[in-house]
Amino acid sequence: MSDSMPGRPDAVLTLDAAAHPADIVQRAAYRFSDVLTVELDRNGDTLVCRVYARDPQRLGSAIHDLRAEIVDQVLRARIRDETQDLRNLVLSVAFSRTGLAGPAA
Amino acid sequence: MRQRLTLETAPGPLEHLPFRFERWTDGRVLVTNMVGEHVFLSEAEFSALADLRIADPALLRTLRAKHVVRQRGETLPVELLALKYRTQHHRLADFTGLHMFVVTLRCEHSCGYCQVSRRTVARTEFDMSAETAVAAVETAFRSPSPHLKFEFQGGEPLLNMEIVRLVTQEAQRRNRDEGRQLAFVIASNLALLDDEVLDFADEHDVYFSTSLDGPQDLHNGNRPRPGRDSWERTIAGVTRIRKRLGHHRVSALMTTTAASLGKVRDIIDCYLEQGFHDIFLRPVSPYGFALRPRQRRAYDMAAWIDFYREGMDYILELNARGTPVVETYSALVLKKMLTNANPGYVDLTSPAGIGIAALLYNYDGAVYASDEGRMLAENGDMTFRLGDLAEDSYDTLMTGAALLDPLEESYTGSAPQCSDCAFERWCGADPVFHHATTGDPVGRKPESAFCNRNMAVFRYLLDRYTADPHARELFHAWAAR
Ligand code: SF4
Repeated sequence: MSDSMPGRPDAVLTLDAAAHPADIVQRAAYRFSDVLTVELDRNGDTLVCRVYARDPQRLGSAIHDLRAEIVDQVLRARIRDETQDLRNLVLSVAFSRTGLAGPAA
Repeated sequence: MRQRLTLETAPGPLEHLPFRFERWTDGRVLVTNMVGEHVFLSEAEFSALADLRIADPALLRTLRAKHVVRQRGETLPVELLALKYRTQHHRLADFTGLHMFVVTLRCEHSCGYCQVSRRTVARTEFDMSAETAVAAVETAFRSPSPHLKFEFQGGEPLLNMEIVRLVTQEAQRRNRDEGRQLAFVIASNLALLDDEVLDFADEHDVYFSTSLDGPQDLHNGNRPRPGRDSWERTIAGVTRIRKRLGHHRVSALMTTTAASLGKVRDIIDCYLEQGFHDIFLRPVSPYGFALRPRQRRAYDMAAWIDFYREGMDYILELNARGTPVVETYSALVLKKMLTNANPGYVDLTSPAGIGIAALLYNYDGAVYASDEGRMLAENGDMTFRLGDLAEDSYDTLMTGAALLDPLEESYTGSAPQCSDCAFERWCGADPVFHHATTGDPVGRKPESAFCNRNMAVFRYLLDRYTADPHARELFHAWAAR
C-alpha cells in the first residue's frame, strides 16, 4: 500500500501520529483498496497520509468514508487490545477438555 | 472431570467482551459477539457501548445477554462463549464427510459454463478404473467422519454406471464392520436415466441431484445437447424418479447465467411448477468470472446481487401468500446467523472446507481439495492437487503443504479485513477462488467477488429480518431446518 506511487496525490490527510498508528490507517485504507491506495509518512508527531484515487470521480465520498473508517479502526484496535486476554481465555476453555485452570482474567 | 470456574461474589466494573461491528447506511450499527450472535444498536447506544457508559438498564441487559459486555470476574459469559465456540467447530474433529468421485469426464451435453473438461461420449480413456475406485473408497474410509457421503459426478456419471455400482457396493461392504452413516448421490442431468439405474438406486438407497436452470428455453439455451431436449429429458427423469422412489429422492440445482438475469421470477415459478420448493440462487461458478471473463455467459457480481435480491423479495412474497419456498444459500447463512449450528457447507466454513469437509477423486486417481481445485488443474495449475491414490495415503494427502498452507493462510480469523469483519462468524474462506482470481489464497477482500457476494447476502438478510416481522419468523423457520 505504500509502494512507490506515481505523480501527485489526489488528497493528503494529516493525522496525529500518537492517536493514529500507521497500522490502523493501513487497515482502514485496506477496506477501500478497490477505490484508493495510500502512502504513509511519519513526520514528527504527525502521520501524513497521501491518497491516490483509482477513480478520481469517486474520491470525494471515498475520502469521507476513509476518515470515518480510520476513526472506527482506532476503536476496533482499542477493543481488540482490551479484550485480547478474554478472547484467549474463551478459546482456551473452548478447546481444552479439562476446562479452566484458574479464575477469569 | 471438568473443572468449574470459581464464581466471584461481588460483581466488578463493566468490561467489554470481544466484539466486532459494521455500520449501516441508516445510522444503525451491527454488533456481533465472538460466536456471531448479533444485535443492532443506534449510534447513541453504540457510543455508550464503546465508552462503557451504559445508563439504560434495558440496553445493559441486551448487551450482557449477547455477551458483548460482562461484569469483571463474571465467569458465565466466558463459559457460554467457549461452549458455543466449541460447538461451532465440532465438525473439524470429524472431517472429511463428503467424497466426490469423478467417475468419467464423458458427457453428452456441451454446457458453456461447465467446469469440467468434458470429453465426447466415445472416449472411454477418461473413465475411472475399478482399481482407482476401490483405492478411493479405501481412502474415504480412512476419514474419521461418522457420516460419509459419496457423490458421483462427471462429466455425466450415468455413462460409467459400472464404477458407480462398484463404489456403492464396496462402500456398503466395508461399512458392515464400520457402521457409519452412508449416503449416495448421483449428480446427473438425467438424460440417460433408465430402469436399470432406477433399480440400482432403489436397492442401494441412492439419491439424485440434477440441474435445472429454469424455464425450458433458458435451460435448453444453457445446456446444449443433440436434439436440444435437455429440459424435457431432465423433467421426464425427475418424474420417473419421484414415481419410482419418492418425491424426496431428487433435488435440483440451478446456475445463474447472463441469460438468467432479469428472469428470476420465471425461474422460481418453474421450480414451483416442477414441485421443487428449495431453490439455490447460485452464481455461475466464480471461475466463470475469474478464468473466462470474455465468455458469453460472464456477468459481474453486482448483476448477480440484483438477481438475488429480486429473487428473495419474490420468495418472501410467495411465502407470505402461503406458498412455501426456501432459498438454500440464505437458509445456510441464517442457520449460522440465528443458531449455534454449523451447517458445514464448504463455502461457508473457516478454516476453509477444502479437504476438511470434502475430497475429490478424479477419474485418473488424482486427489483434489475441491472440484474447483480440479478445474484449475485442468487449466494447468496444480496448486490444489493433493496427491495420487496410487502413491498417497489419506494421512499424506491431508497433511501435505498443498492443503495445510492455503488452509492456514486463508483462515478468516486472521485474514486481512476478515479478522475485523462483523460477518466473519457467518462467512467462509475460499482459498481456491482467491488463488484463481488473485494468485494467493487470501485475496483482497474489497475486490473479491466472494466477499462482495457474501456481504450483500448478509446485509439483505439482516435488513429483511429487522424490518419485516413475517421475514423474521420465516428466517427462524429456515434456520431451524
Ligand atoms: S470474506 Fe468479506 S464478508 Fe466474509 S469475513 Fe471476510 S471481509 Fe467479511
